[in-house]
Amino acid sequence: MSNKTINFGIDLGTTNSVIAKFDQGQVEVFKNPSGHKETLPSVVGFRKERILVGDKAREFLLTDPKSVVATFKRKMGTTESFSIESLGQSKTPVELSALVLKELKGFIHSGESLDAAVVTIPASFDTVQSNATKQAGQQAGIKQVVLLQEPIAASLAYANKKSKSLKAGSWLVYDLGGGTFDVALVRIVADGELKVVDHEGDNYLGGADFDQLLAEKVLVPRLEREGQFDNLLPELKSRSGRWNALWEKLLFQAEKAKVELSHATSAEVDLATKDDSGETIDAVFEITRSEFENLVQPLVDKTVEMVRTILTRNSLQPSDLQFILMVGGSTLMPFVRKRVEECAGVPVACDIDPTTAIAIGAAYFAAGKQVEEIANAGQAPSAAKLHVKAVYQKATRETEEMFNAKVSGQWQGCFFRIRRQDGGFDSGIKELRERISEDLPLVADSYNIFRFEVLGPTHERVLCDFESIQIAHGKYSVAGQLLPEDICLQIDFTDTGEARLDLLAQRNTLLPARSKKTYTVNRTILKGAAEDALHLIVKEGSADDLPESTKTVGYLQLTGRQLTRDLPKGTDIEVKLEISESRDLTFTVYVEACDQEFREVFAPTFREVPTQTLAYESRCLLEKVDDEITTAVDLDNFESAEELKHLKKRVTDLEKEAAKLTPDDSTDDRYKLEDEKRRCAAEVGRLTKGKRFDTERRQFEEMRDRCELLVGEHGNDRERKHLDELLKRESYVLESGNARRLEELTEQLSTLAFTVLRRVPEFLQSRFQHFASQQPKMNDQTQARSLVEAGRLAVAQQQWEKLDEINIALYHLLPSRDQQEAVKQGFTGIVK
Amino acid sequence: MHLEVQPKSLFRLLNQIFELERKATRLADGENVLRQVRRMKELFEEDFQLTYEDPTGQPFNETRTDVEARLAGDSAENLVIVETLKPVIRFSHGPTSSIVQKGIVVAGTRTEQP
Repeated sequence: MSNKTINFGIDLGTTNSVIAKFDQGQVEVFKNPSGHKETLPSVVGFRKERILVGDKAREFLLTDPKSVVATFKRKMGTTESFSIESLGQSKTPVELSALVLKELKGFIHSGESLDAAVVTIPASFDTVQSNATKQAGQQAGIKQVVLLQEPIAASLAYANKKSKSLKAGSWLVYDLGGGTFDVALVRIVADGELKVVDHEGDNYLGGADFDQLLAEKVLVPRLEREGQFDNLLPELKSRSGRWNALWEKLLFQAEKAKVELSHATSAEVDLATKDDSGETIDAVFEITRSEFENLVQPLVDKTVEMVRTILTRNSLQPSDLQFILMVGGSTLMPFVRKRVEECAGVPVACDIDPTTAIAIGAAYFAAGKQVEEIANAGQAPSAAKLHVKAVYQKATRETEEMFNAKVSGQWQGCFFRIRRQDGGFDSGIKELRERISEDLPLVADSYNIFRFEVLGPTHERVLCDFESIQIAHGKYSVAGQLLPEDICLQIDFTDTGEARLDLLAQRNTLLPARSKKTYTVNRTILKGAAEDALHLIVKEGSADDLPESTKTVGYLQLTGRQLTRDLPKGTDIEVKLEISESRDLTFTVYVEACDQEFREVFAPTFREVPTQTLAYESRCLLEKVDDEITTAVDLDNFESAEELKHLKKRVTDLEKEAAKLTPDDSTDDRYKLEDEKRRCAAEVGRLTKGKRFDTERRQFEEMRDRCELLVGEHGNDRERKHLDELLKRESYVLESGNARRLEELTEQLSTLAFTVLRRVPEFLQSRFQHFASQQPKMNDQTQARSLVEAGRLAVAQQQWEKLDEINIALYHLLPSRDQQEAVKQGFTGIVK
Repeated sequence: MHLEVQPKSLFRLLNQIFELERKATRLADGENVLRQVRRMKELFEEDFQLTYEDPTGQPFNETRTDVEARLAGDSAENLVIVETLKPVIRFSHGPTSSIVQKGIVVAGTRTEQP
């Protein structure tokens, strides 16, 4: 024997279980970390690879009885087992009890391991049942299990509460819980030992029966009087009944009223529901204490009868008993106390907390029991440290995030559990595997901190190098930084050949981020030609601004020398951008025609400014300023024209200086000039913003009117709906003053208009006539001739869908320069 | 004046405000009442960092421990919260919060409550 005492007491109840610990003269009842209740329902569920113990399992008891088990304590020591459908196997009462004990271990906030405990058993338990309880304790990792009868434990709690020794003699322990009733005769025998002399009980009588009576006999009849119901009670009580949800609500209201009637003479039940005819019932029912007491009296009297039976059987008069000790939650009802006292003729003792008394008494008993050496000597070596590599989004706007992890080390036979710190989520206990995943629901606009635990075979904590998951939701972004500016790719604008920006990653995107887009090559790059090149320029700055006003953060040049074959105009390239949390930009270009991939990592500390590009952009900027001056004068906007003329002097100087730079210039002039170029470009953007928007607005209005007309005359329901949706955005986009957004909206309208037009015979015929006139230029004359003939036939036979297909085929036979007639040559060589 | 307020009293008050809000929502001209209800909720949030949530309509499964559910019907899958009898009450402390009162709800399939 060691000098250490056991100290832990456990009430392993039929309905609820409790764990307490004696420490320096006081007993602490541990609370469930989830919900902070002192009691744990003795219910175990197996749902979707999770083990659920307690409240969550109890919730599913009635709806999923094939996977959830309760009251298994009644079967302890029998050969019966419970078939669990979701597992495809059975669980014994011992295994189920062990799971409850393992869950209780998790209540011990001090982190102590539970190697020894006093576990209580009903007075009625025989040796086999007692041994089964011991076995359950051992399966839960409790090496030393000392059993104690529940009435004795309650009596010890009472004696310690009163701070005096129990006098020699007899008393009754009356235990009326949520679902069971037990009464035991306890006596101090000659040698001063406490002993349970006799007991009686009913496994199907408890507080839940009172609630049901109140709902059934009081609330339901009143509800029937308030509304029109057919066959209400059966429809309420049947799991498939129409009113089963209302039944659950009635039971809750009944329980609430029952509690209220413990300290008030009347209680109100506030009910809102609909009846069979759909009418709303909004009623308040008053229940008096006497009404309730009359209702439950037969049930309470049943318990009194058992008290009398014990007295008769042991030839005792009420006067032979010192008191009746009231335990179990239902003894909080004043009527129960009063009725038992009146009928039995014995004073009742209600000095102890009836829900935790048994565990508290067990803890007092445990304080006097020494831990056997074996409990420590036989301690299993702690599991080897586990390494968990976790992958999850640290910041998100989603309502839930997937948590993935790879586990290495000795994980076999272990479990894991994830609980949200605010108490709103518990994964349950799940088997640990090499790879695990779990959906984690998140509280909006908040930090969500989850505790990750690895549990050993007996659910003891196992050392692991990963303990906490932190996910910021919504407005918080500390778990991942945001992109401060848009990241864009510079492309050529097909109408004018001017440079413009295409958005790759939007400002405020949470990092890391990635995006992928496809662009079209707008000039042919011949294999081996050094002078032919695509210029992939990655820009940082608003996508709405002029490219010249943004910073170049990356540059990738693809020349003919790098290609394995010719890259014809019109082929696609796929551009992929990845931005790390530390803002490294990884830029990948996949050239489909050559099946080649080019990759470049742009470190944020390295600023790429090729002098050739700088000179070109400065030249373009100067041309642009000239154009803008002309336009401003044409529009009589002399104020802007004057400002632009001032600006032109700066840009001219810039262009001259940039032209002087050699490609290998080693000074920092290129950076200074690039800054100056951006400042000038931003100024151009500012001075011409209104003009750009006005131009876009005119184009938008023209396209909108055209589209409305077309959809109105030829559109189908889906197209009309689509048009409505696009036009709903009109006021928002116009108010934003953002030319790019307006341009996008115009493009969408244009696409819709073209879709409708392709069903309009006049349009198809005019398009066909145009293509037919271009036939001599087409690439494959034989095919072109055959298509034109087929087109003429389709027109004659009014086969419009066929004509549309022919038009498309003819379009593809046109030389590419004719496909994009108005395209001017730009610098980058890529378009959208 | 020193007035000590017990947290449970505040929770009880919030539960009553929740009931009030629910009843006012059902009234045809409940907007006037709802304005005051919203003001009361704001005061609770500003002065006590307490807010409540009505999870009605949200999905329910066995991992949700912010509510205690009474399940209706004979199906245990694809459940939603069909009625909230007591709201979830949260106490905010800086950027995080804790559940100080679990909600009490009835969960079932969507068609459970006619």
